[in-house]
Amino acid sequence: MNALNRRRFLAAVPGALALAGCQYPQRYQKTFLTPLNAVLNDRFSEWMFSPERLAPEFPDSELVPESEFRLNSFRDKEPPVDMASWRLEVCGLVDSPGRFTLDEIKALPKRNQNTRLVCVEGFQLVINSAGARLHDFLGLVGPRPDARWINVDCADGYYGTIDVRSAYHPQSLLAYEMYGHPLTPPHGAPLRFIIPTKLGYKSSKWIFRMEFSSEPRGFWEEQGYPQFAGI
Amino acid sequence: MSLRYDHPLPIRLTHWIHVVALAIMVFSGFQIYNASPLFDFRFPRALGLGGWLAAGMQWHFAGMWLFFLNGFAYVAYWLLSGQFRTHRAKYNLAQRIAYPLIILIAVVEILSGLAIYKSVQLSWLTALFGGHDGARYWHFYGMVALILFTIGHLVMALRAGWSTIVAMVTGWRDAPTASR
Repeated sequence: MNALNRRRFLAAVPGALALAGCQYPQRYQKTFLTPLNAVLNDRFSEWMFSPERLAPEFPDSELVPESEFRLNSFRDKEPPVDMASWRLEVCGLVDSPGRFTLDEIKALPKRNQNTRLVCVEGFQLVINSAGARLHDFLGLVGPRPDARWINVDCADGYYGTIDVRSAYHPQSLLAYEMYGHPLTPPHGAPLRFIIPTKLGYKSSKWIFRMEFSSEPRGFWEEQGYPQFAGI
Repeated sequence: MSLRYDHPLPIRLTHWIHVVALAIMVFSGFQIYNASPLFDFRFPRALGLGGWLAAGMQWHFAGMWLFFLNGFAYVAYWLLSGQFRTHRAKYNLAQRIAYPLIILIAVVEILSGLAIYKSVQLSWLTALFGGHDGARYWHFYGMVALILFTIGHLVMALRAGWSTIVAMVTGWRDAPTASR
């Protein structure tokens, strides 16, 4: 972990938790149904998930205008990110951990897609994104067999998680572009996930760190939202 | 007056489990609806089961299995036991139309729910309902139909007399020998 990212990470996470603690009182807690749903909902969703089946893609005419690309952020609308020193740090259960520049990610084949982003709140948007396939990026870092989850840290203090199996899906992107231009700060510049096979909270923004792990670690998942969240 | 055995145990059991399952689905559905309303209104907070979205979803996703499995058991019993043959003798015209219709609506409710829940894995089903938003409207109107049926059903049962409700609990109805 580089010094800047470490500082930001150490500063952001307790801050986020403290904020979460005061912003989200008692009711934001798991219920007795959480373990039941871990079986009923997550297992069912995992069983339903096909690594090959593609999410529907749409013509440009069906895109929501960029100005109506609704934001649903965890805390900051535009957390400060120093683009000059930015690196994607990869650690944990991988053969080749390291720190990747944006150019290294951009050197991978680019996929451009119009897919539906479904928010857990119930609304949906057909949005454009482009970036490297996570599939190709995972080829660079080589997840070990015991790596089941990719836990990401984000510049706004959010932390998210997706299962490695879903990361290999051909539409799972490390996106750096939207609507034909680089990601804007409110949409996660410089790098975000776009995971069309999952609910929106899996498409983490402002990613600066990916840790491969045997255990998931996601902010909303810890509050009782579905761990797998496949749609 | 004589006693008549109207409802065998599997019918009574699935009927009352359905009451619980439907209540879970409707009130947790209110909770989920309120996170992103389709119309210009929200349901009163107090009617939302779970208290917030994640808990409402958990109730909904647990309740849907109860709703589905119980409904499946009911329909399977109804068909396999030959209960449907007594339908004509037991029910009036309105009931003979309403009961199969509400089962059909329940099926639409389950399918539109799946279309929302799995809009990628079952994208053909979602498309059938007119997309993710379309499926939400179907799911909402289906719920309205289920609620209206329940209200009508309750009113009719009460109007028909207390013995109707007793019969759905014990199976036996106090009925005039020459009934209806």
